[in-house]
Amino acid sequence: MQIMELISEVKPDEMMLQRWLIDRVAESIKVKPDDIDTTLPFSYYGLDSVAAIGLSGDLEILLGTKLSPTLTWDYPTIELLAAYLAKE
Amino acid sequence: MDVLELAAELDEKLGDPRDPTQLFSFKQRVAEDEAEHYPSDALGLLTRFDLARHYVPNTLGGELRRFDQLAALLRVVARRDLTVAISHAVSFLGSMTVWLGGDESQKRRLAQAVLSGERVSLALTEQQSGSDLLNMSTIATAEDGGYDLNGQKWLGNGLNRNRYAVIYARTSAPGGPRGYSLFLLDKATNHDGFKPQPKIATLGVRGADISGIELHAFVTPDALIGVEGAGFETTLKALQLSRTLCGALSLGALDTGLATVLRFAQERRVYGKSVAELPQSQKLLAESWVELLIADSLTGVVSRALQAVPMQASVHSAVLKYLVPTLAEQAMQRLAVVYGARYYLRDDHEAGIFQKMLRDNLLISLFDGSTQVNLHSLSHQLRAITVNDASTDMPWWIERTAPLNDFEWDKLSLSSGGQGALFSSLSAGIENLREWLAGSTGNEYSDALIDALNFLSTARETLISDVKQLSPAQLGAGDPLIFELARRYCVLATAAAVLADWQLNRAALENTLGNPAVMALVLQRLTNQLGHSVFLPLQCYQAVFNCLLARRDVDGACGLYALPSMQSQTKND
Repeated sequence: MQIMELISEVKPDEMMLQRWLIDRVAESIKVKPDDIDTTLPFSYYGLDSVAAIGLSGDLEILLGTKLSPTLTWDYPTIELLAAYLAKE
Repeated sequence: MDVLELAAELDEKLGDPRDPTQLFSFKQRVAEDEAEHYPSDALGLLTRFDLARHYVPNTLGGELRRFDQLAALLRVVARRDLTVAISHAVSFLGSMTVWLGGDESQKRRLAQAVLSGERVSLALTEQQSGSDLLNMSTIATAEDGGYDLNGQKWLGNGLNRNRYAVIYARTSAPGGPRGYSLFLLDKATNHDGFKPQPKIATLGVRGADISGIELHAFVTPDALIGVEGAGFETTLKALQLSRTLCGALSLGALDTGLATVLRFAQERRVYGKSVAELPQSQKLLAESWVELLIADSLTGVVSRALQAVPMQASVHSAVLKYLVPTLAEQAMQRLAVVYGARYYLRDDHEAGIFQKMLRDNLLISLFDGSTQVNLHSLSHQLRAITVNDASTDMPWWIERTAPLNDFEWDKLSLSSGGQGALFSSLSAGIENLREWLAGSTGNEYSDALIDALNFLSTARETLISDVKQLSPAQLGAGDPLIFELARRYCVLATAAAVLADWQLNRAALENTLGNPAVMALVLQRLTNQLGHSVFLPLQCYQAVFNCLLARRDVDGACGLYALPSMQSQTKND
């Protein structure tokens, strides 16, 4: 999914969050960010449920706020997670 | 009644371990092991002694308030027989899922059952998927008026013998972390719903009911523990608690292993001396004892932490579950060297109890989440818990007389939110001991202690920096490096626990951590785990060995705190 297609639809901080998550996931499986589909679940990209708890920990550091450890279970795609975090 | 009094009371009820007419004697325990006999009588006795009351929270009519209390009681049983300990305590493992996730009526009903002596299993693992909780095939299909449970559980404790089984099953076709649920199966009311699977032959705990269950049961909605989809989370939380209690099991095995070999070493004469007078034996015994003290310190600290900082249990239980069984195995193997040929005999000295404890103890690093599983789960939090924000305070709850509130079941969390009180206190712990050394003169082990403290300080900084440089790719791919970094975290957190114990409790630890020779060997053992070699002179080992004897002679037992001696073992023959 091209990032330019999103600009008209999403708020800047939601876009930033998506960008961060895309880069993170891409880095973890060594692919190009462009190859990441934000509507596919984290598990598709090899981030299992226990690893995903670690992701919420990293997000806490990034956003400077406490998050539920099971956030990635209830918002299991980059798109859903970024949208939720942007609203909060 | 305080923790140690409770433990002493139970130990006394178990009788003299060297009196072969006693059910809990070494002779009868080994005989049951040889025969692979399920220890029904011993279990019945424990229930008559009200041990099961300690598996039920006080709010539900039981006596469980604190985990250091339950740990002390399980250690007393483990010192006699790990088969009996795990076969009885499995009810805690199973019923915990209901204390954590059940509704009030489920909790009350199960509490009644456990208090009346019924036992509860946890049917979790399967032959194909092992312990991969998100890949289980047992299914619970919602039907009119209930659920159809179908599948097969394998390698569960008590699955044949226990009346109740908590079944972990998939309730949502795609699975995932919200796709599993827990169901309480009462075999007494569901006769046709299951078929027992054969007992599995194991290396240790040979008499235990390690078996399986085949399910084709219809259960009513009140069998569902909590809500649909809560199974994975509830199970992970339950495992934080059971992993903490595993420390008590290994410690029990090691208590008896050490007492047995020490007794042998003092009785057996070779080359005109007792084995215990030989410098090499003293060194080996001293090293094994010190590993017991380290494991004891960590287990005590983590058991107390559950009440004080329950939200950090995901980190501390993983540290304990990796470190304590690993140390216990190393110590038992070293004790076997001192024991010589007798370690290999199943029916010689002390009825052959040592070899049983050695084999039984091997289970602890394996079940309830193996050492590898625990290192792996810890690795996901490594970045958050090694941010360089060293605290200057010792965790107040490590002080043994500090009052702790009752454990709060709703305070567990799957992540510690970047908190790890032990590791955070390491810098302060190192500084405290350094200051004390600077102020104390004529301490012959200063050099060794300072060497170890400097190494710990550097190791801490190196770990923080190495974790920072980890890439998401390394984390994602399960790179062996992440297991190594997690392992180092465990060792350093343990060093922090021991240093905090020293700082806050050493007045009560005269012959153990309060003694400089012992502390020098403790830190040498810990830094050794990180590849560092602190030189200690012979007199250090001899001094530690003398502390071991003094400890044993004063209290009859060799741990950090005065757990009761096992009856006749106080008599010096």
